[in-house]
Amino acid sequence: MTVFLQQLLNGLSLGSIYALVALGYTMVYGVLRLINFAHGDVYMLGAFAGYYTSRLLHGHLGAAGGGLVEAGIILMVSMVACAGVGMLIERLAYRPVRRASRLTILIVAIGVSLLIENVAQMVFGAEPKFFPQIIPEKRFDWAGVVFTNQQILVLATAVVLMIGLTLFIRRTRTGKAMRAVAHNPDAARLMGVNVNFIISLTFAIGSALAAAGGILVSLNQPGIDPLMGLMTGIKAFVAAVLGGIGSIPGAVLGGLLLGMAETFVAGYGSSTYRDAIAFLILIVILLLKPAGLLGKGQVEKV
Amino acid sequence: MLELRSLSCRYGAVQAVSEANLRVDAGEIVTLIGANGAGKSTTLKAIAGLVRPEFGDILFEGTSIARMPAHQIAAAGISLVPEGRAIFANLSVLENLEMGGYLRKPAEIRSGLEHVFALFPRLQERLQQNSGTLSGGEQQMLAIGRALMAKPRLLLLDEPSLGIAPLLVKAIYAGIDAINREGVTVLVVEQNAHLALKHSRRAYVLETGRIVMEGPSAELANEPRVKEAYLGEG
Repeated sequence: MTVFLQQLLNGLSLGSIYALVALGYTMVYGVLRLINFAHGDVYMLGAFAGYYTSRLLHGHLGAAGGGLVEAGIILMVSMVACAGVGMLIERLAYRPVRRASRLTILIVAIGVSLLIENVAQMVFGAEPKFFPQIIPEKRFDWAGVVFTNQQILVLATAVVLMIGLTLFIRRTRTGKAMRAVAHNPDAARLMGVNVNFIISLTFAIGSALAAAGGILVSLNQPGIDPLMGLMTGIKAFVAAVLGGIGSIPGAVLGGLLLGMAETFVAGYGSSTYRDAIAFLILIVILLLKPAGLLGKGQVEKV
Repeated sequence: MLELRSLSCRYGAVQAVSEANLRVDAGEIVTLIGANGAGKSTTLKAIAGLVRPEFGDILFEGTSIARMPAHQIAAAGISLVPEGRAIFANLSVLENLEMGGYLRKPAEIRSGLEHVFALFPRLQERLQQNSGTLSGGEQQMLAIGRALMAKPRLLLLDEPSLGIAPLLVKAIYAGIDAINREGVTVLVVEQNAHLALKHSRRAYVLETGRIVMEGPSAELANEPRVKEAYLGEG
């Protein structure tokens, strides 16, 4: 039982990161029917933005609030920077080919991803960097289940961001416009919605969430490198497909399930198979329920 | 209020509309009738900015809107109720109406809702319902109500009777007449020429992208060519 609870907690913590990144895939897919393969790289850029911000800040803030102040600033800066990167990617790479064939758009997406990875290797260097320990780790033991303050922070931040996103999408005028654009962009135009603005905003929000994922991961696993977005990007994509691509609750559910699947495989089986489980899930879901757990409608060929 | 000057639109090799001239004066109901594929929908889409004209011009209250993006045309005071209704099936009835008032202030949205409910009381009963579950006629009422929420001065309707039960068609056309009496200018496209000529003051006949006849609706209804081709008489 203790092992089970331990893995559950680890899984939720890992899964909430996948969920944050998966939200960006699913939101962009919702408005553009496009898989933004560069999304994992935005997550990487988020981690690096945090790394450089913390180097600038370090020593200036001391240990104010047990590092929470610094972590908060880093999170904000990184989210804003990546929102900008996301908008830039959309404007420069995807908008010019929006009316092109799906294959063209797919190749552009892969190209953007490779471009970011290679430029990042040139600029940041290919060797891993070590994310400073901003919040000193504290371990808690609760009836044999061990968890850290960082895990709590990851979960809490992810939950706050997801609730914020849901309120935004459900309640605000712009959120409704986003859902309207996802359903029928032309009809949304007729209501006076500037569809380009909504698409831009979707990229900004999705990228900011990926950046948050990058920061939260780095607090726990400080080794960051320019290719760190590859595996996480693919896994978050699997999470989005698992939940039903285009569905926001689906992305959260898919992320959490995938995180738990990984930690349970590692905990009860062997950690060798930890990465394989994501792809096994992808194959099974595509065979049995291609629209995903919460997705509806037909799956289109990409 | 609205003027099309030699409007031409093309989809690749297909000439959908060629050199159409059309005028709608403030306060009128004008109809554009024609067979399937005559270019009626394309004409409305061009006015609303969803289709770029190949050449020709579109003037709304004296200003050219032919190159304006659709969302700015909506802001200028033109609302299109698209063919097939195009309601947001993932949104509730209320949210659809709120989307219609996207450019309006909260107070205007509240008064707009009252207005729409007075016109189509059925919508009020279904306010929180997912709009995808409405019947075709109710969806059409929603689509018209949504367009009205924008407080347009010119309302464009694309086949509002298509695929709708006869009883609801009556309710919808009664609604359109009422909207017009309140001062909204209406341009309606219809395949159902009977209905369209009965509810309009002037009419244009579109055949393979060209306007071949125009005149007061009552006169066109007695025109032998119209009777034969569009009213199934003669």
